[in-house]
Amino acid sequence: MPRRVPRAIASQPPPLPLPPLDMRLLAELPSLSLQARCMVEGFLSGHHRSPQKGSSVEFAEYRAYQPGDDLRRVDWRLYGRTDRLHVKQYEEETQLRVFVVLDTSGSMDFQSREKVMRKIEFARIVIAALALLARRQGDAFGLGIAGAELRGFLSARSSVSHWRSFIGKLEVVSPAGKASLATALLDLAEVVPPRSMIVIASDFYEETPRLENALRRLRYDHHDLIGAHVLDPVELDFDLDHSGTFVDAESPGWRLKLDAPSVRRGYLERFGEFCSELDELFHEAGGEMVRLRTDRAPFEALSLYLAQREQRL
Amino acid sequence: MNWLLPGFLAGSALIGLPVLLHFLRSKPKTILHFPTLRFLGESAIRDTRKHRLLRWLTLLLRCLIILLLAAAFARPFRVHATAAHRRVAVVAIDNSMSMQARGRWEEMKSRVLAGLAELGEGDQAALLVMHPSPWWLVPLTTDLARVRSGLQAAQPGFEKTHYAGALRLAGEALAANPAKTKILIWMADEQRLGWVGVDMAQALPPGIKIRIGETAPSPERQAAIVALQKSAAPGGELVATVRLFSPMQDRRTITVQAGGRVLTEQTVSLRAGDNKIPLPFSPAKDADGLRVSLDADDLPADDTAWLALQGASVGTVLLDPATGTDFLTHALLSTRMLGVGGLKTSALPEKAWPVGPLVIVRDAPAFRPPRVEHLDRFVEAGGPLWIFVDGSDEELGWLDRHGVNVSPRAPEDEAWHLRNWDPEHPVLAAFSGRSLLPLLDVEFYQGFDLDGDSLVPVASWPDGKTALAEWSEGGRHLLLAGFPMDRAATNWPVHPSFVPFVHQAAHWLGSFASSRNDWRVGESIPLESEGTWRSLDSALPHEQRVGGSIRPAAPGLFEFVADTGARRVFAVNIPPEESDLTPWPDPGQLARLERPDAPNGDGKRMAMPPLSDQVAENHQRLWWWVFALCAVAILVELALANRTAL
Repeated sequence: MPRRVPRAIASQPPPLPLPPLDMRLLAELPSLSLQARCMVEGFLSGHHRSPQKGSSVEFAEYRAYQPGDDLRRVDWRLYGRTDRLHVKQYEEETQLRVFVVLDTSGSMDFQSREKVMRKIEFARIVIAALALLARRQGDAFGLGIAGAELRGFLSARSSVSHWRSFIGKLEVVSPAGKASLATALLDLAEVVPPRSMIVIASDFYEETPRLENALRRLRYDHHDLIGAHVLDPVELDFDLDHSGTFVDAESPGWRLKLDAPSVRRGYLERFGEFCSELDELFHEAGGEMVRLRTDRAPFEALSLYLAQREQRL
Repeated sequence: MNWLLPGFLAGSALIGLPVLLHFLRSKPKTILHFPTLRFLGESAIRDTRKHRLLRWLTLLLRCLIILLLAAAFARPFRVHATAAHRRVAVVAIDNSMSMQARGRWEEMKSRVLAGLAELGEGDQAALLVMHPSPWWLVPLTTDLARVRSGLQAAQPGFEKTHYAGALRLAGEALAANPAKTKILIWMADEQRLGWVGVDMAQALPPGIKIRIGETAPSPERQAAIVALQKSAAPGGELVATVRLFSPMQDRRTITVQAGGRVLTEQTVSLRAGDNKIPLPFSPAKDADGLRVSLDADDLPADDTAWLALQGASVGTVLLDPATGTDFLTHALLSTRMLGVGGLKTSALPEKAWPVGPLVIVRDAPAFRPPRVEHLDRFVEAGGPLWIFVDGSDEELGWLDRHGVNVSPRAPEDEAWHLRNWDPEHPVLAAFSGRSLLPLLDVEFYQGFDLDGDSLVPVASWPDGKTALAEWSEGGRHLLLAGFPMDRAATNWPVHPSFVPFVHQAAHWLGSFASSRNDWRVGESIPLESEGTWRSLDSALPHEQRVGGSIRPAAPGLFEFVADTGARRVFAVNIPPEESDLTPWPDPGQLARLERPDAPNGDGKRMAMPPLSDQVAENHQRLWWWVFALCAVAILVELALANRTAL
């Protein structure tokens, strides 16, 4: 049944500062594995596969001996059987770099009801959880704050002091009107090492061609892309029961006098098309999309997604 | 558009309710901050406009439904613009005998013709004749020439004056007419007798103008023969009662004739009031009757009276013995006890029954041997029979053998009343021209349903089953009453209608001639069978076939020849009270019959719509169409409300 327009969105919302991150909530984060879908390049050894072949524990392949090769890597048993010199090559395991990107556009500062979280608050918890997961498994984690451009950036590290910086950066984030996620992602692509995992927490209200361009650029660097599509239930269901003037959160000058029930059907059709389009974009970029509702527990859908992802890998 | 019950239009104020709800539900000033409007573009605006339009349309439909309901209850009707400006006149013609007073008829006719001349093209007029009962000589028509010619041809009759019925009928006809101007032209001599019984407080319907002419002056000379009585002794004298209405003494010549021959003539001096004048005469043995006349005065119609000289036979009725009070015998003997003729009764003989008298059977012993053998022979011989069913096995068996099925009625808490009386049946001749209410009031507590191919119903029980029937078998007249004749079964024996009914039924069944041969114009004369009715007065030479009864419209000496060959002579005279030409004492009271069409009358009058409006509305039945339109609007509103429901 359609509901009445919640007071939270039926009046002019003051720009409220975000509350501190709920560390108790983070502490409840279940034990999950943040597994990269592709091989990653890192400085420290970890449990992610590295494209670099070396003297690690996991055998990769043989190749013919070449002058200058370390004689210790020659397989003498094989030489005994074949009378040819071959050297062993091993898979090198390396450390994962996880970059989480938080969209701070005005549209993320939306909360349909008192009982649901603001979208940006929800996204902040999600990316903090992802960073915590990376930290627990010894991977490096970094941060990108997307506004009109890349407003803030933390390179990927895994130290304790870096975690404090990470949390401190998240806590001072505030949503700001018009933003360009595509621009921020293009900026990020310039500073993020290749083969990193990039998690983008956003509502993705960006012009589709521009977003497609940015994702294609990230794919070029072989990044493992995960889109966390953070949405308020009203955005998903449009279960409003009233008429009124609709104001665009990112462009307050854009107003429409509408009757919610009468436009619901058209809205849901167009929104569904948009979500399908987003899924397709991420799929083409080699990434995945996970849809998160702010009226659910932040880790519910995320945990499920990560578990399924681990099984797939 | 006019409204029969305009008070219901106040209900249209209820349209404020949906309007209020509509505006209470709409909050167009609400501002909704939404993450993005990229999915709420032009098409959403189009949807919203369409939705808003639908909601306004729904509101309009709801208002329309309320207005239509209010309009339907207010009963709309249209008044034709042309009719509203036209005039209608009803001429009520008093054709009673008093209008034959010298010069009175022609004078009033001239006045009415002058009044009709005021009507123009498109106006309507009608002629309503008052007597014997109000009837339309010319119904309402725009053919004024027809109305005028009808009035020219009309003639006064010999009836007794009575205005109430004509006044009511004319008022109703005028009230039902949508014309703006309604005129009742009263062509009458305002005789006091005519206004007796008229409720002067009961005015005409509003808007009707009554035109009453000047009260006719009393004639200078007016006397009437109000009674004739012949002594029973042979060669006796005739006594004529002459009533003089003028206060001054008058000398008049009185003549007695028989068969066109003058028997005696003498001049007498009359004083005001009744004068009994003995007239010696010796009529021929074959004379049917006497014609007694005065020399003509200002009202010649009542100056002649007739007397039938033929006597009448006395009928005999044979009855089986009754238990308790014998109401039937008392009723049959009642007129004889008063000395005005009648019937004689006798017990059923133990030996064979004679065929001539009427036999009334009302108890079981008549259907047991040896009487049942007498009964069978009596019926086979064509004897007149009247059976009251008492439900005994012997009686039911006998009736069943003769093709009549009788079944007892289940008793009920409330008494039954007989319905569907056949007013044309000869047994009801005593009630002909009068109200049947005395018969309808009779209560029955016990009864039987009669059924049979040879039965002709005369009256029915409330459920339509036959209660009283003529039993026609082989050309004989038998009467079958589906109830016992005792007080436990009915209160009829103590009811006023019992004696006239029993007498009429007995006369008809037994073909007894009525002992009375002196009648008045307007009275219904019962006749024992079908036959020919003919005037013995050369002034009225025509003859006619009659059956059961006749109601003569003119005085005179009449001959009735029954189909059986029996011949009887009746004298029919003018009602004596009609000769009194005294006018109504307060002419101003008559003018107050007119009620102005004022809207600020008393509350009771305002609450009642005019009769013409009711008739117009009833003919048009626009409210039905308004209700139908309302139903369609409700269906459309339901469809729209579903699409715009929030």
